[in-house]
Amino acid sequence: MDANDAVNRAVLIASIGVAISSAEQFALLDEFKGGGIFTPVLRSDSKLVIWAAGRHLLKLFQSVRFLAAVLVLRLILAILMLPIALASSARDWTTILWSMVIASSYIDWRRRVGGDGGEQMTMLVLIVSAIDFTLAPAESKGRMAAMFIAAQSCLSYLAAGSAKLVSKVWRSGDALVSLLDTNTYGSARLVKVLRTYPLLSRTLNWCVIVAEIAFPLALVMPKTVCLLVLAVGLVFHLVNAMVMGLNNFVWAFAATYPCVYWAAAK
Amino acid sequence: MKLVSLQVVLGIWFIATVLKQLNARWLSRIVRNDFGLVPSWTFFAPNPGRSDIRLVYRDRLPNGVSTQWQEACQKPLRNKWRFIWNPEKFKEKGVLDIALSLSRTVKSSDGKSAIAMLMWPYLVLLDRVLSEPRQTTGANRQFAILSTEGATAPRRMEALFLSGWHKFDA
Repeated sequence: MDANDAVNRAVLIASIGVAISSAEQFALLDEFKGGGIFTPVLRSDSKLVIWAAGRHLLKLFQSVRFLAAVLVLRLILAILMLPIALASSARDWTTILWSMVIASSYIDWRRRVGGDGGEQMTMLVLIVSAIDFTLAPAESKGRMAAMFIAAQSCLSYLAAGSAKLVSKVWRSGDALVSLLDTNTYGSARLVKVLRTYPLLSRTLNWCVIVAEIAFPLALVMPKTVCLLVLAVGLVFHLVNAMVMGLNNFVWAFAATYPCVYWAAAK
Repeated sequence: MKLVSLQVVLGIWFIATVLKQLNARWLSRIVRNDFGLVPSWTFFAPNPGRSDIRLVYRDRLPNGVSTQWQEACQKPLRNKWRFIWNPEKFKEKGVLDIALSLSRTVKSSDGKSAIAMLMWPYLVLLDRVLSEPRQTTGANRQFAILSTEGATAPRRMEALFLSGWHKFDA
């Protein structure tokens, strides 16, 4: 697998996440209307409003119909991108890639709140791939994008693990139980198990910390060990999706794995 | 030349992301809005997020009696497919983001909630609770943001914000 293949696979996996996210937000359209949590309450919150044309444009951007159209468009673009990326030819279809980036930026702006790290990672993958495919000469074969995505992936795990390591709550072994004992991210069944077996709870806490900090080592490990690390990462995100409902993290972070593997195998 | 420019841009971008993890305040002073392109990757740390944020409201009826607090944006029952399909996460995170933003605004204005009333988080939450069904005409509505610990009752609760009373439009 060369860098171009790695970036294409990253785009492919990220596009699946984008397609699901578009459909999910389409299902929530009512929340974008007046009285919803994503309502555009302030009509003068943009510098665009200085000009009459800007006011019309702002009105259009704030309308739910326009948002619905962009969500459907992004869904179609993401689905179109799947066979293109599978054939490793996203470089020849940068218009679709850039359109996805622009549509995603608009949706983020319109929604204003409710974003998360999974969305940010997806956006990084798409933007960097688009920039590389547009600006870098074809001979460089996506190397810059692949390196950047792999580096961001490793940094994300290292930063998450380090922040947990310096946290008293995480070091005490209580963090997972506290987190799971919430309605938003929780699981009553798991909390019961972890409260019954405190040693298991503490061990899982430390497993998360150590695994996240150790993730960047995948870059210097033999290929088979790297694959194992990535498999563990994927299982970690799948479990988080099942227990905590963070389904977009699966696609967002799995999208970076082909680039991590390419960087490790290089 | 293009390749070198690309290397420089991506290099600066990556260094900025590294600095963001170190909580470099001067960086945020230079770059006021990074449009989410310089993420902070410290998921659920250092504070793992032990509580749920709830938006609740109550009505004061024309006879002066207040109704029970009710929850707006109630979480639907968990579905087993949420590992692949979970639209609710946007709503839950949206409420959390707005509620925290409002709490921060109130804190930074020395608890003067009148200032918060002019801010968009307040207006969004007010608009949200006013859109919940009402029993009678002529009532006023008030909302509060609660932080609750524990997934099941009895829960430890803390009120993060209490709004004034608001009349419904007509």
